Amino acid sequence: MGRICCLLLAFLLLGGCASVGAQCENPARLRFSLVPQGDAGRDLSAYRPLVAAIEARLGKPVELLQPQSYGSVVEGLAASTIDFAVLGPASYLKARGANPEVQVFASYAKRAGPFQEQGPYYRALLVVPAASRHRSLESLQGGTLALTDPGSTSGAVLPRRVFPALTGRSLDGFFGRIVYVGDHDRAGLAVAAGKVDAAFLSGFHLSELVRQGRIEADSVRVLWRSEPIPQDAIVYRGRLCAPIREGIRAVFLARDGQAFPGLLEQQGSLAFVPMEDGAYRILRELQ
Amino acid sequence: MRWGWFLLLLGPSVLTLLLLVAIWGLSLGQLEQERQLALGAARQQNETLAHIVAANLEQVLTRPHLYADRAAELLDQGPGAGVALRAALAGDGAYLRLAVLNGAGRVQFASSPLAQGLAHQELPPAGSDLGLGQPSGRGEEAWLLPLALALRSPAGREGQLVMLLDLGYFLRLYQGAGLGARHIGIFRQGGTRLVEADDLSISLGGPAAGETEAQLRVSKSLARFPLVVEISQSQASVLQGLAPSRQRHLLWAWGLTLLLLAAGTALTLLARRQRALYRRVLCSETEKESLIQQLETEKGQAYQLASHDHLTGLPNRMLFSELSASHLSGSRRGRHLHALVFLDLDHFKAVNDQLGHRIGDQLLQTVAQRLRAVLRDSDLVSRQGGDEFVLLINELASAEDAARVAAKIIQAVGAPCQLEGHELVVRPSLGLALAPRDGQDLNTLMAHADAAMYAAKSAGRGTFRFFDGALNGIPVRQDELARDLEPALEAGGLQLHYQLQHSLDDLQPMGLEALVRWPHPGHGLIYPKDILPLARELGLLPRLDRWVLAEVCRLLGQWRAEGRHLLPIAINLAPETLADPAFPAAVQEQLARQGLSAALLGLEIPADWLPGADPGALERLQALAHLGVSLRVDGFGRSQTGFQQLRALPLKWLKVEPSCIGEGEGGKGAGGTAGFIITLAHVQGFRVLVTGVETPEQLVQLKASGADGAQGYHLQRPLPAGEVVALLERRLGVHGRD
Repeated sequence: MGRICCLLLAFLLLGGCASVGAQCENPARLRFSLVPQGDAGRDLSAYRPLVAAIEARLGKPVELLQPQSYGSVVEGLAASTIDFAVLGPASYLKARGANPEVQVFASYAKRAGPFQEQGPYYRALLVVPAASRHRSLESLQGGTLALTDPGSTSGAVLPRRVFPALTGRSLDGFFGRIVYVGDHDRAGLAVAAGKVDAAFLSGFHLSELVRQGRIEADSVRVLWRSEPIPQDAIVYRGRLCAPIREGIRAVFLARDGQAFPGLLEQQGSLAFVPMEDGAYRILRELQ
Repeated sequence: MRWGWFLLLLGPSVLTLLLLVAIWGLSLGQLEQERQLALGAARQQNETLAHIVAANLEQVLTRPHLYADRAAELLDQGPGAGVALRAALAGDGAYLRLAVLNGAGRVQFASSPLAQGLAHQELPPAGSDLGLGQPSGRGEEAWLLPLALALRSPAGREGQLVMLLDLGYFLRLYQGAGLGARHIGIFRQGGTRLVEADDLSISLGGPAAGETEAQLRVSKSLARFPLVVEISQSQASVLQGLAPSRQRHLLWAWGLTLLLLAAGTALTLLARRQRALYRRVLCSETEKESLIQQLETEKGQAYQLASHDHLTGLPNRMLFSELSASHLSGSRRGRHLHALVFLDLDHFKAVNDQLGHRIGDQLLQTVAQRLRAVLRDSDLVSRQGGDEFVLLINELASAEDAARVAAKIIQAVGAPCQLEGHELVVRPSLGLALAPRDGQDLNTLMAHADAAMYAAKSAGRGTFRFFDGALNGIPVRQDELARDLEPALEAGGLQLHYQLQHSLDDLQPMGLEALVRWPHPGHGLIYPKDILPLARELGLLPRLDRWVLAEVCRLLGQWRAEGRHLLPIAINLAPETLADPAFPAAVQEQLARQGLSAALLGLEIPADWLPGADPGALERLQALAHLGVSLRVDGFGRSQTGFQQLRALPLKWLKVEPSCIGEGEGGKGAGGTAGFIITLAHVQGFRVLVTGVETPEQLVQLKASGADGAQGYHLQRPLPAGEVVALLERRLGVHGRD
């Protein structure tokens, strides 16, 4: 009931003051979100120092939006209800496709891990429990596959696209059952625990699980890995006025992108690095 | 006992079984109860969960109706009017995008550029009720569920509101909500699955995950929408929590089971062992008893062998000593007498020698049987060896009783018996010693009885004697015979039997010997050896001889009158008769009365009378010889009489017994001796008649040794006059009367 009241309140508040901006938008408050990777709430909390720095620099409040799915962030960017966000590569492409003003300006340089090379790239992996009998793709036929979110690059989008080339069959036709676990952490945990036969997920997140001590590196076996994929895209809307965009960008990339060690540590990253749309060409070509 | 063991063996098993049934019944019952409780609790929880999920789903699905009013207004306004709608959607975690389509199906308003595409995709039919589409299940929008609702603007324009429900919303909602092993399924009314969520993931459409276990299902239909929420949970996952308790219970049950089985087995084994021991003991008892039995039997047999005479089965000397000792010790206290009797068979040796030991043995057995039969059970009979028997006759009131028993024994033993075709008459001699008057210990009594027995033997055999001579006058049989003899003689109660005398030249009858017989009404047939001593005692011998003489003459006279062939008949004369000076005259008279030739009469004189005979007697013999009567000496060789004495007598014949000429010893030597006597007799001018010939061998030997005549059982036993007549008719008929 409370939720419904909130909705009605939103109608009253926003209904009157909403206006179609001129060339650049300078909203009274900025809205930030990011695609769910693991614990979305925890992720958002980690960004609080950075968000605070942006608020300080721009003199505007920044609202943190808790996402339900990759799609909700994409939808927010497409509908311009989100001003800046952290997106997966495919989500970025999807959002930019729907709303060309979405611009990537930065990404993470990830530290190396058991399934991750150092830098702003990562790979999609197909992993099975180390104890399982599966040693090749073929033997997995008819099994249960865990995907993360339908909008996740390494956890759904890329596998669906490359799988026919690998096996000659679509993902849905090949596996007996496909379940969505929502994020990479759960996918990795589910595989390591043997709850599913296999999972597609990001090598970076798998490494993070190992680093955090939540799984053992040898509890899973990698059956397939993709070409390197650019890391998450940190985007803002191009319609935002330049000082705002510049302010956001400056805060992310301050001190060589290492201004928020706590956040970087939590994100398994070494630094924020500048990023351009061209880097995602490789994914775009797959579409 | 058998049932007792059965129960003892079966008892522990049955008890164990019952306890096991009880334990397992209780355990399983409790486990089942816990299981039912757990399932009941889980069902209740799931029902609550189904209510919550259904309420939540209903709430989410009600939202399009909230958007609908504002969306309907958009049909009358320009595209810019949707800002508030867009903002509201941005804060709505469940719905991703929405579009308002006008009556032509064109997009009147889109929440984002991506919402523009809604006009081109397959949409559920819109009505006043929310139309539910189907998630594509593919691509980046795989879990977006399209919904459609018919709109009517205030101005009356028609259109529809299309919204995409992000099922990721449900995933976020239920993930980590502690669903555990529960699955939340959302189904259309028709049964098609829309989505299934669990603690980990959601899956879209298609068949449910393979369920191999029993499931606990609870479903709840939504009130306003054609959807059903189903909570399913495997029973195993519900019961998982019970596992420790269940394990504990089973552990206890198994523990108790093992304990009981061990105890039951131990008890059964113990019982079996006890039974085995019992059986072994029983077995050994039986074995022991049988051994004891065997030992006793063997002992009995050994005792029997050691204590009994094997031939007659009577106690032997040893056993007799034992048994009699106790009887005799009783005799010292009591007033009764005991008679120890020594019994010896007269001439038994001759039986053995002449008829063989087999017959002798049979005779001994017969004697044993007769002794046993004639005595009471309380009397003892034993065989001491050879033909000697010792008897102990108990509980006698007087010496007369002892004499009566002795007479009975003599009569019983002396009765003729048939053994392998031989009729044997063996008479015993008995010596009696009475306890306690003649002695109190066995040895003394034996010695005295033995002495008495010899006395009996020398008294003429076939009789008995007391050790105490004073008692010898009392023999009952003798008494009775003595009493009856004279009357019998007077009344003609005596008979004469006749035995043929054969010539050994041609074995033809050459004469007869008259032998006196007394058929006594109480004692049977009495023979000369009993009659003659008695008659002597009574002084009846002269009368007896005269009766015999008269009877023989009468018979000869009768035969002559009947015209029969006449043979001389010899009679035996006692010394007392020969002492009678009137006897020759009496002979003459009798012969004359019957008109008989004196040659038909033979007179046999006992050889032992001759030495002491007075000169008058010899004269009388001369007178008899002169009459023409044939005189013979009977029993030559048994007395001191020699040939010299005989030569003075007018004798022609000598009668000898085989034993007297040594024949009885048997063998060639004996034959030689017999031949020597006979030869001497012939040299002296005598003819020899051998009496007592009982075997063919004797006859052959006598014939070979030159004897002239023979007489004996072998040739012919003594017969009454009538039978002798018939016999002679047959024997002499062939030869005619010459």
